[in-house]
Amino acid sequence: MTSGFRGDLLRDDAWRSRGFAGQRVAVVASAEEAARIVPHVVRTATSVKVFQRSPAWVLPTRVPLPAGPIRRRAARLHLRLSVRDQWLRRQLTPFGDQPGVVVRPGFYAALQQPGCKLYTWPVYAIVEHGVRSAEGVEHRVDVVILGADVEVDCRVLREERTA
Amino acid sequence: MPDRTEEDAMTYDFDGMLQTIKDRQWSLADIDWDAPGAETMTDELRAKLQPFMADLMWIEHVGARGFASLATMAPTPVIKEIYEYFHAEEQKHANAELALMKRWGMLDEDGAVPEPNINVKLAIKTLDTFGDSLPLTGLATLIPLLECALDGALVKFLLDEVEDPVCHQVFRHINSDEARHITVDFQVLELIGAGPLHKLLIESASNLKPQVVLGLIVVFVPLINKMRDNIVAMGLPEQKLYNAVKRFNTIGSRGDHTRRIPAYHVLRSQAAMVVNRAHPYHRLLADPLVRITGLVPARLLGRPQAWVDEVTHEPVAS
Ligand SMILES: [Fe+2]
Ligand SMILES: [Fe+2]
Repeated sequence: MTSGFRGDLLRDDAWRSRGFAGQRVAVVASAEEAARIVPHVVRTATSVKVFQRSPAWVLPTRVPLPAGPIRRRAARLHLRLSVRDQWLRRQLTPFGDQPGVVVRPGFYAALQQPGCKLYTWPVYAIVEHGVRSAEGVEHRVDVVILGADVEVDCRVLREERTA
Repeated sequence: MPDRTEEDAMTYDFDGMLQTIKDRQWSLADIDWDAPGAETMTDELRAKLQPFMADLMWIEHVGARGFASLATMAPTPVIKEIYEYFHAEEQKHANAELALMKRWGMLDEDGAVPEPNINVKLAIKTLDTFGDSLPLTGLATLIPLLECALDGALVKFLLDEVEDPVCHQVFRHINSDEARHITVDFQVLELIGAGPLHKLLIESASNLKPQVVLGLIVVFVPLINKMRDNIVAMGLPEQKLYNAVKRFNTIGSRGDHTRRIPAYHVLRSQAAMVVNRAHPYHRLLADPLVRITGLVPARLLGRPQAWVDEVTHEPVAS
């Protein structure tokens, strides 16, 4: 699929089979998915901007705990111990009735690598040189990775559909 | 089973509003920040407006943080998503106002963000500490009051004073965002107000947790008074402030359910005192608090959370 975007637009699992050396990458996905994508991408990319659609409880490994409040407690503790920055921790905290806890190793560590940054701004358009998010900034990148569960709501793609 | 009134309040089309919000997004990158017109900013006006713009920018930025808290307690998933957009849009307003300051030569050579005054710092501290645990009705009522004041008085004042066409272009965007904010703010109050009365009363009782009430008074009373004095000193007609508060009353009383929210009545009378300079409120509470908070050493507050550093005048980041 082409959009007005000059770089690579990756969907589904296309990010798995490649490296990102020398490239600036934006990941637009829910935490559940970003937690799979980001640890892989930070290994090679120059910079990674993660636009998280919605947060999720994360555990780094399978634990023998019953699903429900106890496992969520464990996930909260994992977040608390892995992320020192209070605001980053808040951005990663799910509020309200959260369903389950996902198991994803390395997500929090990857987010805190020097070239990586987490945003919670909604992305509303993919343009020629990158993504535009609702805080009014155009983030220039070479690659955009869209999570499979992200319903793309972006201007350029929509205009093309109607053209 | 929902009674009839509750059903009526449910009829507002929040889904349609969310779609409109998505369709109307704009970017700092849409604006030509070097277009002619900056030269209309005289030295005299620059000196006068610099502190005003800094306050305005910080209030938008703090307002953004308020929406971040509201998003965690939104009554429905669609309203939650709307609040997430509003959180970003208030930050966009702060970014755009910082970009205007840069255009007008109001920032230092490095383009550093101006330091917030002590009352803004206290507001930041309060939001960092209590923001996510404030009761929904309180926060959902406080925000439209601040928006009416911002939109109705401060922004109109600025547009009267400044000729620069880029400023007017920016505020056409900001104003149309704000019109949607105010619509949603009051529709949410209607939705909450239509809920069961016992829930409203329980929420109001939790409103009265002493440390929260004290925090809110110490922070917001002097913040608003200081801003009010600053702009009146700059020549803002007091009538504009009255009109802003009147608007809060008018829109609030137009709905059938908003008046059932106790916090609405508290803030309404609070606002009436703020705009009435003759009211003993100023002599007894607000003015002394401005003086006292002026003496608080900022370092006592510790480092604010990282969101405070996110404001930027750059339309493009890589
Ligand atoms: Fe605003
Ligand atoms: Fe607003």
